[in-house]
Amino acid sequence: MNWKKAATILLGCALVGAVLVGCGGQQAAQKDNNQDGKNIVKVGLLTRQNLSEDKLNSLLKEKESSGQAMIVTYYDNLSAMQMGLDAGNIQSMRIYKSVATYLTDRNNNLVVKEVADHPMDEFCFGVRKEDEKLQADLNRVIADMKADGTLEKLSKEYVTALKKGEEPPAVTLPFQPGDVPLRIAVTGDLPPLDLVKADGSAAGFNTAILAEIGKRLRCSIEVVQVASGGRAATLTSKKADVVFWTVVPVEKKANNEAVGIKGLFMPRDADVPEGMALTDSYFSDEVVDVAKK
Amino acid sequence: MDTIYQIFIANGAFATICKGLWVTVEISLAALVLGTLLGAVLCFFRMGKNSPMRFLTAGYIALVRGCPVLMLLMLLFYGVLAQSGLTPIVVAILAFALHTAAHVAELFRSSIMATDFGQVEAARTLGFSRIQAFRLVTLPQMMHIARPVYQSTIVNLIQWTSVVGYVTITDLTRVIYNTASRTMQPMITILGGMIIYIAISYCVYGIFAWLEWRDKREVAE
Repeated sequence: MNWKKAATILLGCALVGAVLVGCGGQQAAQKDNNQDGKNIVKVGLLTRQNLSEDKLNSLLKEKESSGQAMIVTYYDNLSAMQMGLDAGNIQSMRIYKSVATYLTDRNNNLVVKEVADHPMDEFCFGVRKEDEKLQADLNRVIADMKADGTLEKLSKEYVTALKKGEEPPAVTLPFQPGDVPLRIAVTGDLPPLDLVKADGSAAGFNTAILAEIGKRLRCSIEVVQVASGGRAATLTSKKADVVFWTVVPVEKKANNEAVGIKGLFMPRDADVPEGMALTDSYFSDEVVDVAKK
Repeated sequence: MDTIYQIFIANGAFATICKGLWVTVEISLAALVLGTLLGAVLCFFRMGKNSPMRFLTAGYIALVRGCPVLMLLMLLFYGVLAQSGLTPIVVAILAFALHTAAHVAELFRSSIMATDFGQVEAARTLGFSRIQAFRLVTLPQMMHIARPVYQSTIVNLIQWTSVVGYVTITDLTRVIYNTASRTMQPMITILGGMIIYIAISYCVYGIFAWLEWRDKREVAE
């Protein structure tokens, strides 16, 4: 009986150990590198809401050069992607430069690597298609903020001028009791753009933009916290009026082609769910790779 | 140690984690009470002689038990109850109660079926009413049989609530994710969150172990 117990405990420990070291994920990733004589790069990407992982990988396959291939794995949030990198499931995380800097400031084992062609993603707001007035108001405020330098000032204060290890300052959102607030969904998953402070309050560059929008539109702002995957449903079911969204810009390129991953063609609405309209962009950031040193 | 302090305690992080924990406990407790009551009603109809009700409850149980709780939650929050004006927490309690009820109904049914029906017949022969026979003969045995699985149902329910972040609720899991993103220390933060969930589960196990110990002591006396 005691032998049985000892064997069970040993087996349990071995199983836990195997799980904790990632079941040889690193070796598995390395093995894939040599499959079919091609160098396969496994890259982590934040989940696109309207473009499946399979679809993106098949599009990437069309762009594949001889000897170099890329496989994208989606992650719902930054933490999961970071754990995937630690476990060796992916070789690099493809994220925004501001987020990468925030991450490497706090983790000395990681390094930022620039991506060929320096692809840029743009940040904008998503609203319901029928909310044309809100979309127009937001576009007007964004244009005003661009013109008077507010956007540049805020991006400097909340993103580029942040010291190593420093969190962006807290923001007070305008709120008048009795007002019908503009409800904006935040995820807290993308610091320093979108994060939740230790005291539970929403903070970051996006929140600072919200505060400015509230002031200019003279309306109260209410923040609704939601998981990244629930943003579109939150918007279309009217639980929030505005969500943050990112898009690959296409206006700068001829023939509606964008400089995306590996120069991949992705139309501006590739990641926009049905029933959602996008505003003009208020910020753009370079896409970089974060890998282990 | 400093990293752990920065993640879990500094700048009000501890209070935020406690708030998230309270939301998890609040939803779990309310859903458990409501789910158990509804489960008992479902069990009554499931074992009753009214054929349409028996058919309906069997259908409900099969449907809800086969549906992932996150789908049910999102269907209620973003669809059926989207315009109801109910707060996200109330919708979450409803969703988890509906889901728990289906499991509890089957648990109660199997426990009743495991009791000896001859004892009920004997009680009735001795002049007990149907309600008395159920309350004094079937119920104590049924509770004893159901207890281990009911304990697992409660622990499962607490773990199911970790998906409420999808419907704009900041529960313990959401707070842990937010903290992991803010501090960029996902491994330590998620491990901390896991320890809190295990601690809640062990509180549940502790309550049931105490109940069992009390019963044994009463029998011994």
